[in-house]
Amino acid sequence: MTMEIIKPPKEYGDRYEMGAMAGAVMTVAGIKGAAAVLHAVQGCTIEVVHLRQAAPVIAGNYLPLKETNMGPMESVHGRNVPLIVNMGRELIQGRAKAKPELVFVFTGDGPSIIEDDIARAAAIIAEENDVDAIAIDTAAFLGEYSRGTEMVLAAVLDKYCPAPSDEKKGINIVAPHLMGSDNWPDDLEEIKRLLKAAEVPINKVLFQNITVSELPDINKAKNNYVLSGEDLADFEEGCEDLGMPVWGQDLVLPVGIHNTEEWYTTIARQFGDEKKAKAQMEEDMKLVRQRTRMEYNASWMMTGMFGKRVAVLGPAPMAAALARSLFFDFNMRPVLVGLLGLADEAFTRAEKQMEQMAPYLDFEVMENPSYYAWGNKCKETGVVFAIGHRVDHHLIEGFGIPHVSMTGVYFMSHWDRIPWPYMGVRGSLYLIQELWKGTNAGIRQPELWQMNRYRTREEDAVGA
Amino acid sequence: MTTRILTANEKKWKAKLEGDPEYEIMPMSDLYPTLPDAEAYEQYEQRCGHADAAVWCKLMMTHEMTEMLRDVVVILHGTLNCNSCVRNFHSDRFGDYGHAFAHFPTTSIDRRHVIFGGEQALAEAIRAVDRDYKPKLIIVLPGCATSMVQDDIQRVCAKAQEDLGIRVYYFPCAGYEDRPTGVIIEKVTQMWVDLMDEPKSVDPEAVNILGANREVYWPHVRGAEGKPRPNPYPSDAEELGRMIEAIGLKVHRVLMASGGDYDYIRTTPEGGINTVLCGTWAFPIAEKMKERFGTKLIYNELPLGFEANDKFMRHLGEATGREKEAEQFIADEHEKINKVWEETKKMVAGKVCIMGAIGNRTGSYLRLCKDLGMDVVYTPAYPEMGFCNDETIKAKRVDWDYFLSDEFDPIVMRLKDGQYRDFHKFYLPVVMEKLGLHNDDMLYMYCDFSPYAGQIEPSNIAYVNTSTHLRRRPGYPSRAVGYRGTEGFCLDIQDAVKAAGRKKWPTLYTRIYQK
Repeated sequence: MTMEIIKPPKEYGDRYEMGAMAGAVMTVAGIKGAAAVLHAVQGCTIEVVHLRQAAPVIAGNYLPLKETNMGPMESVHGRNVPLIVNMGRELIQGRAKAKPELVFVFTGDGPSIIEDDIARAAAIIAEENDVDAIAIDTAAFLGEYSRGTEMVLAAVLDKYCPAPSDEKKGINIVAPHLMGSDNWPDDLEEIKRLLKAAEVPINKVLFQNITVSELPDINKAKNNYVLSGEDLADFEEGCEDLGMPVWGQDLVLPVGIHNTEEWYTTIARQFGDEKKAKAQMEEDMKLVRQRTRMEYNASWMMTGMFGKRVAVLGPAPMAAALARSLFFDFNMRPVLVGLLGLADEAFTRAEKQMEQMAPYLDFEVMENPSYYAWGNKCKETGVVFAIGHRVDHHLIEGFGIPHVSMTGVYFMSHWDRIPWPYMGVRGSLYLIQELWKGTNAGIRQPELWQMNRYRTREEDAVGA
Repeated sequence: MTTRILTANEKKWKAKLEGDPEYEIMPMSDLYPTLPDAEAYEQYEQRCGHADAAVWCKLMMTHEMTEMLRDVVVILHGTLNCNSCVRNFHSDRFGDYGHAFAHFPTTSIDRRHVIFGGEQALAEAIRAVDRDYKPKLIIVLPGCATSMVQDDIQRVCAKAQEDLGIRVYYFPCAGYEDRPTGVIIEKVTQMWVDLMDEPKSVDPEAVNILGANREVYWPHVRGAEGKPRPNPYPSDAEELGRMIEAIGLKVHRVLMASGGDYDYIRTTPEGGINTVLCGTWAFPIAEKMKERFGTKLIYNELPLGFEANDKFMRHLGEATGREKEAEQFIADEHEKINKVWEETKKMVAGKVCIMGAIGNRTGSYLRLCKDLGMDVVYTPAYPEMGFCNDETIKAKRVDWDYFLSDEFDPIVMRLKDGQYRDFHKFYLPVVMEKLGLHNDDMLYMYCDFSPYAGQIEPSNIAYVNTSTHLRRRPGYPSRAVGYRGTEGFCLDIQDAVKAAGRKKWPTLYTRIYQK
């Protein structure tokens, strides 16, 4: 049995990887009282706006934004400080009831190249409006989604946590939007619920439901549990300086029962009460049992999935955790796994997690596959359905392979209004449902139903 | 054009707004000549403030055109962020129309390429794409960064074309180059005319449909021959095609409907006549084709309603010597849908439609409402999406030139020059109050979504969806084009007016949001 790793072409990439500005906005979107001016071209800003008004809202906050949407005039002439300041002013003054307390200024590629003085613009915004302001150059050529996240985390530490705190009272949960689950707001709630049950104290979530006045309390954590395998070196260094090192980047995400056991006992052993964690899993299992045991449909679904060959494409931590759950929890065959990431660490961490399957399953792992290579490989490998991100569903269904969207950013993805996680033991109910959608789509043949449907004599005669 | 005579309602509104510090109202024909060119950014800044409308950038709009070609690979010389911004909504949702997944290999530049240049990286990517994808045509598009640092992309493409022996076409379309959507579209249509070859011969009975933005023309889809459409939603191009073929002509090429290959677009000039769906996309292509190949244009766009469709058929009949066939077809179609048309006219008698947004579709929908006997108001704003866009009128000059020349001259309600452009001032309840209109006076046509839950809602105002991608009535085209489109849209209006008659039991949408 083997795990074969396929490297991507060096000359080009074709995958979903939003840039630093998107990562930055998704990070500050969890800070209540924050707002941001996006100094960039309209194509960049519109997509950031789309992402801002999706998952962060589900997670509890709506981040006010104002965009400069620079055109040729601003791009050629530069000197856009007054424009940025004006946007900041409108952003603040337009919200009399809930005046922003902290304004970020983020840039796209153009302003970064022409070197608009965003630091000065931020200083003027702060002074004129009596708010805090932070300017960060988030040009996409300076880094991608996780890099933008890291830039904000590091900048917030710099501004609000100048020194270590003597008071240490739990862990920070960091960057939930980097997990790679398109259901991350509800997954985050489940993670928090489980940690609470195992008496793992949570200091803050970076960022979710944190006010500006609470930002100085970030440094009261013992450790920072980062929900991403990416290398966040600047943030990591800042955390070390504040005596609250980063922890847990090698830990598998709690997708399904097998992973949850490993995740929960490890984290509870380190920071809480392992016995309580086990008791909580038992408790949660009662619900899963109650919703499935002696229920014929559930038996049909769960054993019907057995042996089905599946492909999984997603950000490395989520894709690896899903693949393990498919194999160990659902007896499926994740024969093809596509890992998306930036740093080598993201891949080595995910591959290490998947090594557990290697003695029992032949499977291939593609690192940052181009969509072309991914689609062809899915077809060549022969999978019943593919799990991926919503933007690749046209690709996969274009090969006649059913697609289930579970990974990547939450935006026009699973359309699910029911607050339930993929993660934790309870989340396995959601997994059963989604995995069955893929399996069932692989079984049914609607094209043939159309071709073979009953026709009247008249219809037959005209060959309708 | 003669001086526009105001209707009774319009006179009333004008009187009501007399002396208003913020708003003014006037016919488009009065306003239009006073507006600066859409690219006069500074003048618009002075008159209307900084436009903060966030819509698709030039790269996205260019990429949209390429997605409908099947055997072409587009290389992006830029960041993965640009690639993902294209995919995040635009490419993903527009794929729902039926065109295939767009491969978009990207040089994935970083700061090194910005500082030292990325030409070598692009050259390597082109070679690798030729090796891996084996396309018939490679199109190279830039991101903002590679454009700003002035990588010589043209030279790299020319060299690659020579080395690889396939066409490698570069089109400059960095996001910062232009801002208003109409201006962007007008410029990016050059790409398609560039890709056309000189015709070997021209068939005077072969008709092209231009501006079939995002759609699929089922009869030209690979493997479609002899098979029925797999879903019950004909595209607007299919409806126009039905009308063209009904008088004995044939549909030659449909641009940019997906289902075509590079060879499909190259041979477009072999069709003798160009017709138009979306004018914003089509008129610039048609102008350029007329100039380069002498292709005849039927000057008409997005025909909705009896008046516009009848004119289209008559123009087409005249241009091809098929006047009788056209008249017969018009009579037959009227007979088929006249009952629905007349019923709808009765139901909307005395109602008003106020509409803004970006698109020329607004013009066509308002024209349909006018045709149904309603009063209509155009607003240069898209409050649903959160912006004012005064420049959009001139940015869509090709469309407004057409509408005005065809005597469709709606009244425009706008903010006076110098007023702060706050899109909330165009929220429908605000505008209604300003004009003294009540719920029963209104037909509300929305696009992607309505933000008015809790204020005006389908139980008290007729809500009609005009979104191309979300509007679905089985058997009818979604942009309401043609006679069938008109019928389907009238049926939607009837349903909406009936639903709004209840005046109680509001929708969940309102119950959730109302304060």
